[in-house]
Amino acid sequence: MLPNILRKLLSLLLTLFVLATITFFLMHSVPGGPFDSERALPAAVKANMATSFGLDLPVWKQYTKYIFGMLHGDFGPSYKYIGRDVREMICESLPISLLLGVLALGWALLFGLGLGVMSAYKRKSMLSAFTSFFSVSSLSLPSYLLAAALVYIFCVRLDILPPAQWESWRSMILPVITLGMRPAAMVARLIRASLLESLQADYVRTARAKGLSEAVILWKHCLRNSFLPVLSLLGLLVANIITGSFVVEYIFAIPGMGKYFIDAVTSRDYPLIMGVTMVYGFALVASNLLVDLAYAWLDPRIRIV
Amino acid sequence: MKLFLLGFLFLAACSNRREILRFNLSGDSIQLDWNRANDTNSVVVLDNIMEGLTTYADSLKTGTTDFLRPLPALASSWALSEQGRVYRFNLRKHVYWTDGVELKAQQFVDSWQRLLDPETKSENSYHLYDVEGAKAFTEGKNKDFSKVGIRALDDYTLEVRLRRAAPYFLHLVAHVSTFPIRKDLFANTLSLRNSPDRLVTLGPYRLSSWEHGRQLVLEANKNYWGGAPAIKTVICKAVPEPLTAEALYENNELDILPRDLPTSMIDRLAKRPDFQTGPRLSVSYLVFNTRKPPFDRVENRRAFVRSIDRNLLLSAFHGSQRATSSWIPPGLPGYQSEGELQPLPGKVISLSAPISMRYSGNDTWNLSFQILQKSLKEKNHVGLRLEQVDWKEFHGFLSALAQHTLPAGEKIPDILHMSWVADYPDAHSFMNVFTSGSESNYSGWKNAEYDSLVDRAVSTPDEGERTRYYAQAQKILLLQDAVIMPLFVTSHQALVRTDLRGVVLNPLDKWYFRSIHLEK
Repeated sequence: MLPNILRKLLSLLLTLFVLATITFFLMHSVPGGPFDSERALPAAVKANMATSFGLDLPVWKQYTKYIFGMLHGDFGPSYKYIGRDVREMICESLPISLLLGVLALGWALLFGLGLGVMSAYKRKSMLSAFTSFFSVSSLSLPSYLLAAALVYIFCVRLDILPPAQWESWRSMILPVITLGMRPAAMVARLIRASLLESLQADYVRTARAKGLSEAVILWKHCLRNSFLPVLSLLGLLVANIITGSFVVEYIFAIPGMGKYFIDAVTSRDYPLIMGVTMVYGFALVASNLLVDLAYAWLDPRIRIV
Repeated sequence: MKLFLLGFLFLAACSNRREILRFNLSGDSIQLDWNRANDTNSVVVLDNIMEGLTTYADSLKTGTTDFLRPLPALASSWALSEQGRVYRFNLRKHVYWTDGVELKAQQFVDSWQRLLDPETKSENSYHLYDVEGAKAFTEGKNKDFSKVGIRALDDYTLEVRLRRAAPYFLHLVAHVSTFPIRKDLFANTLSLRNSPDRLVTLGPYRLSSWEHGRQLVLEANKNYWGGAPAIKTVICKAVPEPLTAEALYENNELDILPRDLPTSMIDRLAKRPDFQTGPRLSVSYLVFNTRKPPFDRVENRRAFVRSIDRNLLLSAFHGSQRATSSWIPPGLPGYQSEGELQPLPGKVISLSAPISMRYSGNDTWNLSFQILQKSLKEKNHVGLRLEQVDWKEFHGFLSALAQHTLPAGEKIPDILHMSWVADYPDAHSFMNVFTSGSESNYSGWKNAEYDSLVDRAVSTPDEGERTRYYAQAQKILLLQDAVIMPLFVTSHQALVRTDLRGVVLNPLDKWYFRSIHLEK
């Protein structure tokens, strides 16, 4: 088990290093630089700007300097948000994004689980039809459309929730629902399918023959088996929530880290691009690692891998 | 008793509400170092917490050109001598910074020295290039600041020597980059992000807090020389998405949406009493690449201009743009309302190869140019290749073009679509763009007569004479040589609560909260 974890940790570090390298050279190869603006700057001013941020060095030197700094926890200063360190910006905004992500994941798991179980339990009911409809539409509906629809219903029509910002628990409801909707649909579909499959299994027939009620069979015998596929889905859900948060944070004006992601790219804020990419990259790789470990712990058959 | 208490609370909430104004900034990447600030959001904040020698009118009657006149602010008066080349500003006395230190003329000298110093890395140094010796100082050709034409004669008198009359100079000293600084403090400006309330300023408001990503809060400055403003607290929220900002406004969580209304809603919003609109000094235009065929020939340029009906392209904008055929926008002396090249029906231009056009803009611009593409194809059988690029890429390309550092093999498109926003409300801000020394002239076109007309216009203080020079120069630019094709002037579109008085849609997109008050 232990060497296994070590090997996984090593591959995590390697993945992050490759990610840093690719991102660094990609962003430097994109046309347009951080200080290109509507006004042509006097040459002396432009030269001073480049020097102060180390942009006058050859790209490979900038790269080694950056990696060295990053290993020491220094992500450099932001170009656009003048006077702020990328590390400070991440420290400020990451907890908000994390809270949003955890809430969305929790909501997705609870709602998806409930919906999946109910629709498997009442397979030929309206609820089951609704689940299928919900899954397909949530998977194909872009989040900005969903957000607009939710804002229209709950803020403009019913006037019971604030349309944006991150101030009270009430303002968190809509962004969390929006962000968690697609993962919830994924969970519901998976649970439903796997429950329906296990309901055909031999041990269920035995249980039925023993006279157990359908509810007990479902909860006690089938559901536990369906958790494994959900666990394997978790990595994908986290990825979904991270990429979804870029848009959701922007739309709901949430002061999280996802908002910086797009902002940094459009303004060619190199240190901010790197910092944010690395944090998200880490979250993604680490969550996959945790899923792997949990999987091995839950299912003895996988431990050899 | 309960009812009474509730009523009291309600009244308290109302009166409280009346002293707070909630304004939307689209972001909070605010540059607090005013020598270096030049983006819209930073300028809004700085215009309210600081002040310069001059400022603009608080209240405008629609249809007047009051905004053309800079008003005394920190300078209570000024005198001109030597054919308008020497300004002597008399500073207001008993003006105090928020830490109690008095305003002195030397603080302007310190500021301007810092603004011009290339070490400061300011993008705004060009604002002072009309001052004697200023440009050489920024370019590093002269390191001795005493050779630059600015001096404090005593604590309350500032003398500025210009190299030419530059009749628009009083506008430049209303720009945030020329505001005074406290040399004993400015080194701290950058470290103030986490304790913005320590920022020492002297404007009608002071910065009281800054929650990153959420909002900045401005509080009225009780010691402001002009008296504390009526609105005690201004909350500047950072909501980037127009639809969200609009929803917050409808939900009574914002009082002013200054710009960026959602395009899809404008037709509906425009009918409401809280919708306000006004002109802006911003012109969008097409520039021809005169270096190579087909637009090296003036006949082709003229024919192209005549083949386009601006009104056709306008349908995409829902009133946020108005057609113009003048390079100097309406409201400024030198504006020409008609007489330029008018569109002709039928086939006007014949070109053998398709032409390319590069631009950076949102979907609305995209739609507008697709309409253009279609009409060119149908009417004139001319193919138009649209090259939409992102903003940074576009300006990276332009600066390489201006400095002749384009990579070998990179083609210059036949047409560029650009916008020009006035730095100051004067025709020179526009006409200067196409002089041969200008770094914003991407056409490859030069004309000695044009240069000389613009130069003469900027060296005379006589308004009538200037307007005549500009009219002649504009004829060369648009009719004789057809170097550019002006398309639209931008309009302000804002939502402002109807109980707010004194809200001015300034054509320079400036916002002064000091003049705003709530209807009693």
